[in-house]
Amino acid sequence: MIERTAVRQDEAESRSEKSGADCVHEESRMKHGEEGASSQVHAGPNPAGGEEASAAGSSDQGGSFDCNICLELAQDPVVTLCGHLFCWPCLYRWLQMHSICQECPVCKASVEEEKVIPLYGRGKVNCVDPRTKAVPGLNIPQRPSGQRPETARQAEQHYHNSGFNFMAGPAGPAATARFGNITLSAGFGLFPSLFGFQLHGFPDTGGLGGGPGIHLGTAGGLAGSHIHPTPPTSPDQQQEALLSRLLLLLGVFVIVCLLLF
Amino acid sequence: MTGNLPQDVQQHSSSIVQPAAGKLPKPASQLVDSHSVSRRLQSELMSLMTCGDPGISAFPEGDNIFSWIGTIKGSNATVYEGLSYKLTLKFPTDYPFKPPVVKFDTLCFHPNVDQFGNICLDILQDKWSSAYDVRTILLSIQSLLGEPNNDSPLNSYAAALWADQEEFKKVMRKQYRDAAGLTR
Repeated sequence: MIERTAVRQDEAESRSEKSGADCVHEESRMKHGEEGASSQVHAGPNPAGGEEASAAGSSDQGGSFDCNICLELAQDPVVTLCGHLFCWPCLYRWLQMHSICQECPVCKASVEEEKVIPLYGRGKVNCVDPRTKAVPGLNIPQRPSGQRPETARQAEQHYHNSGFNFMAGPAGPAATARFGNITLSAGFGLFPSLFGFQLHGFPDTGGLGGGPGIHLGTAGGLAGSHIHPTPPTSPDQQQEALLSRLLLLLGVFVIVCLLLF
Repeated sequence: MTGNLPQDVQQHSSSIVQPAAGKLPKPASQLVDSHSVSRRLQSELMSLMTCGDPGISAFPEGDNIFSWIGTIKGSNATVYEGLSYKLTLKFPTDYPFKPPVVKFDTLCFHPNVDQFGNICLDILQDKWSSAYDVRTILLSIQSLLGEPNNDSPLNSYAAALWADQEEFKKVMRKQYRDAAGLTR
């Protein structure tokens, strides 16, 4: 039967719910036939299925953003995980009335109130939906808020952090080495494994030679990026590296001298 | 609630008059927002008139937008081909959260329609969805005409007779003519 299927239900999932033995299970039949006759369904403007209608090209009936329940432009729009658009008050009322089996009115997929996604457009934020006022027995709560993933930029900053950590982290022993240069040569002896990092750690301390105190703090706090809002330019870095290598050589020489003599 | 009822017409009709009364939470009678309901019905009427589905039509009865008269034509290649049936649709004040009460106005000899015109169709009862509308209801009933569910009949005589399509057609057409003669 072709005519049977002109009901807009997206998923042709075969749910074989057998309730009400005294009734014709039209619902399941609608779903099964849907695919076969969908072209026929879309022949004319679909009254309520705005999404499907626009997909079929009947753009004169611009209902793509109409609520599937009140058939008007969605107020406080929310979208279910299955992708169906509703006014939040409309969907909330529907879910309240069907609290036993909470399902999407369009496709019967299960709907959880908390998982409904609100749509934040650019329009007025606090325009009051007349329907919310007109339902005395039902207190419609605020829309659930969006499930917001972390800001994309934050990940980038994290990368920066680690980059700086690589340089700033070894600055700790480097700094001790600086002090060690002057006072304690044993500082290096205590961290033989970190000695290799010295090469990278030193440039930093060399660059900020003016403020070794600050540098020590950053190395401990692992917050290098705060101290270096702008990364040093590469020629400067090269100079610093050269300088620090010289310093390092000098330091090593001094240490060796101290150890030997 | 609709699960284990005996196949008895009276039980059936009572379960239809009060669709799934025990199953759903009480529809808080004060949930009345007739303004938005009538707006939805008007929007349905508009689209129903513009989409021009063959074989179905509906229009409000008089000034009352909450009561409609619908017409269904029997589909081709069914015993109901060429016949036209009138239906009444009564919308509750909490439509579309609750289904309308739909009845055949014209006597309909069909396994799932009783002598009072009550229709046994799950989407008009516990399988109702607020995304359904007049058009989908009428299309569903139209297809129900050609494909009855004989396992749970309201009219067990019609259900028994369905296997013999020629005989069924004869009885059905006779009843249709008689009913038409009575009303005209």
